[in-house]
Amino acid sequence: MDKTMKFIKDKAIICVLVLFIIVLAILRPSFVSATNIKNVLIDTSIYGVAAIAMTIAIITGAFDLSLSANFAWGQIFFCYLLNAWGASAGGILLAIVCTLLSCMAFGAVNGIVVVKSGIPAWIATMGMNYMIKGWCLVFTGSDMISTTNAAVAAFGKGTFLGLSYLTYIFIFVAIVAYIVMRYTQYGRNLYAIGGNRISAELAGINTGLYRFSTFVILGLSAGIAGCMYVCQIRAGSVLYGTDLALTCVAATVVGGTPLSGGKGGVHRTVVGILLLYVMYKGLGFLGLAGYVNSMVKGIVLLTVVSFDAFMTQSGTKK
Amino acid sequence: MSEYILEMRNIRKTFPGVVALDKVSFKVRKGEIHALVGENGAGKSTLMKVLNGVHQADSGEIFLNDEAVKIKDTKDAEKKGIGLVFQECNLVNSLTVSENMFLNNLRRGKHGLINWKELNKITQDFLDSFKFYLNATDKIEDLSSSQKQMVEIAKTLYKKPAIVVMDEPTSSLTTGETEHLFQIMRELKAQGTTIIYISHKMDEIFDMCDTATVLRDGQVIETRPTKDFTRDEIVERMVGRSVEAEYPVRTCEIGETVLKLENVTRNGIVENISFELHKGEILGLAGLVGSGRTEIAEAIFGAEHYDGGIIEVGGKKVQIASTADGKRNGIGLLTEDRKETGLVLSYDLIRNITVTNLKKVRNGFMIDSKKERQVATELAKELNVKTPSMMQIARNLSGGNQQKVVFAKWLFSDVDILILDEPTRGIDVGAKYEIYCLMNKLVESGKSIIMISSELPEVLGMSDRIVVLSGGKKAGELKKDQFSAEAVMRLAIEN
Repeated sequence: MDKTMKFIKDKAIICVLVLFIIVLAILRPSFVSATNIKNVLIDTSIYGVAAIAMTIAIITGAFDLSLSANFAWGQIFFCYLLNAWGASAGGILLAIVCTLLSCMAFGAVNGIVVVKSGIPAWIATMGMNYMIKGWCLVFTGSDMISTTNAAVAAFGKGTFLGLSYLTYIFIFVAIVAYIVMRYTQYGRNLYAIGGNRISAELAGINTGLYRFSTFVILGLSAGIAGCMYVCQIRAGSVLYGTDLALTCVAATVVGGTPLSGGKGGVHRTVVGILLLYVMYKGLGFLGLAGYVNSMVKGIVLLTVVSFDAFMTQSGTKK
Repeated sequence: MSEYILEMRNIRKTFPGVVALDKVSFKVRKGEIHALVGENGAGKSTLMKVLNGVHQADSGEIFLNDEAVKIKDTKDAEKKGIGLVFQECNLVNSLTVSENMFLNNLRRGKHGLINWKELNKITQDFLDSFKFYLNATDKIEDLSSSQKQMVEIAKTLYKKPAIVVMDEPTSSLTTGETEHLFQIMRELKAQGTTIIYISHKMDEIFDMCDTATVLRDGQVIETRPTKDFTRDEIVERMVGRSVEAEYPVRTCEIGETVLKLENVTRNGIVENISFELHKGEILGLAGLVGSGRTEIAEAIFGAEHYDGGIIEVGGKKVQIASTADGKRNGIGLLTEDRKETGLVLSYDLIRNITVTNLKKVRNGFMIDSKKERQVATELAKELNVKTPSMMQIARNLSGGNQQKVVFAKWLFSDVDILILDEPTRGIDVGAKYEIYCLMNKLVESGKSIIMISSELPEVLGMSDRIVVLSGGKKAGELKKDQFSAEAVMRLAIEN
């Protein structure tokens, strides 16, 4: 009995995902067409990269609400740099590097504020969110910014074995994150800090530095996602991706990483973000208007979390 | 009516895979103080949880004043006059003492509103009547851990239970406070209240209790008036074998100085502490709770900053600004609160052990899981950790085994100087002896130990030398031939 319960709890989300895809495939066979799969995975991939970083932060016991604004900044700055340097391959590469570094810098500010001042991460990063957003508006004169860079557009459209290049970036990021979190000292210490920060500190781990690093990783992920988004949309604006931070938290929790920290894993978040996107897109296919997305996200989140809480309770009761 | 206020007959309670209580029959006379003793895991707490309605027995009966009763839940137990003083703190930190005492039971005055003035007065009168030395309007978060324990006791007593169960109430109390608690217990006894007293401490059992019941492996071994028991008999029945000497002897050479403190100061906390620690030595750090023992340990390990003074390790002056620095200099700290700060309770034993030094099981960047498991398993075996598997999570282990895991964790890190803060607190007799043997083995292998302990016999029995702190200052140092309980206490209460 115990084992079955554990199995159900562990694999429930995957089962729901598979079930949902099967139902959709029967009702709307075009949902599982190669083009549609590719398109759903593109959206999943862009947010997925950020969701992976959010999961790492949540495992460590942190949180980043400024991810949305940092993502917007990534798009804007990347477009801007492309327009300036985008003529040569070297210029594009430099633009990517500079974008990522600037996003990491914002993450580092978050990290310093949270670690040094002891302000709760959610409030500190909320403040940072407003600040970066404001900076974006100042930078663009409150306009959107676009690029006509041909190389970047081609990359955004490019496919390999039927999947977008962007999806391969996501797969790469997910695998690296999984290995780091599971098989390296760095990852293991992050888990220990999330499990019991005092205990980790007293085991001689420099918890401040580790926690700081997760914010830099969050910034990096916002930068990568921002660049990926530009490949797709060829524009940047503070209006794009305002729901990013909370979607990432939702994907983490739906996947099965609790907000209390110390548990879960990035592989779960891959399933979580997939489920969220298959649901949105699927319901669109079934004829629901796009604006019910937010409601769907809410329902999925509440259902999954309640189910998890229920299973946990019935698991501990003897 | 018979002389027994409580009788539990043939109580059986099983948890998945374990028989916690097996046909336990337990009788308590009206108005006595009845000691319930046994090793951790013997079933004491489970039995009391059955009595208190937290657990339901699988079979068996409970009689209160010769009347068969069913105790459905804790609320029901309270109604039937059974009060339990919890070992853990169950108070709301942000509320006052009186708010906590009346939690969920706030008396309303005129217009259905709470009359705080009256409530505080009732609380204060009650606290004073038992000489609790507490202020009704103090916030819990401002109290020391022993005062919190006192509030917990007051809260239970206020409901005027006929039977009070105390589960190791003195484990966080100092000697003075323990004596104070005993006065309260005597007062209660004089009023006719029956007390069931769970404790590991033999002195307390013989001083305070009329009758003792020994539990082992979920069974009652024997019940007798304490005056008919000897200390050794109780211990023997607890562990099921005759006991060796309480403190094992060691033969080891004391070598050169490995750690030297010179006028180490933490502003407002400890002042000008100087002492030396030698290779192969166990240095006892004694003093009352609050004398600065833990605080100086934190400074040596780097968990807290020190403001002045010099720390030398192996003859070289070092700067210790963080726990990472402490570890790098070969110092490890086993904290007094292993559950909160020593372990990650939700993690398995392997992870708990290897966290201090993952470098050792790393292969390039990657952790070698196979090697990690193997090394951790060997250590656990060497330390005789009793666990069904290394994948067991730390929470499920008994106190003694958890402490062994903490030891394993620091042995894994290869540090040379171990600071042990209350290494045997809340650990049963058998496991204590194992911890002592382990300490001996460590110093014999060339490590050095600083042991902080509130239990005087332990400090006297295990140390090569004792440094006594008092009020944040060093009050004195005792060599082996100067050891006596009186000498330590005299220094400890100097300031």
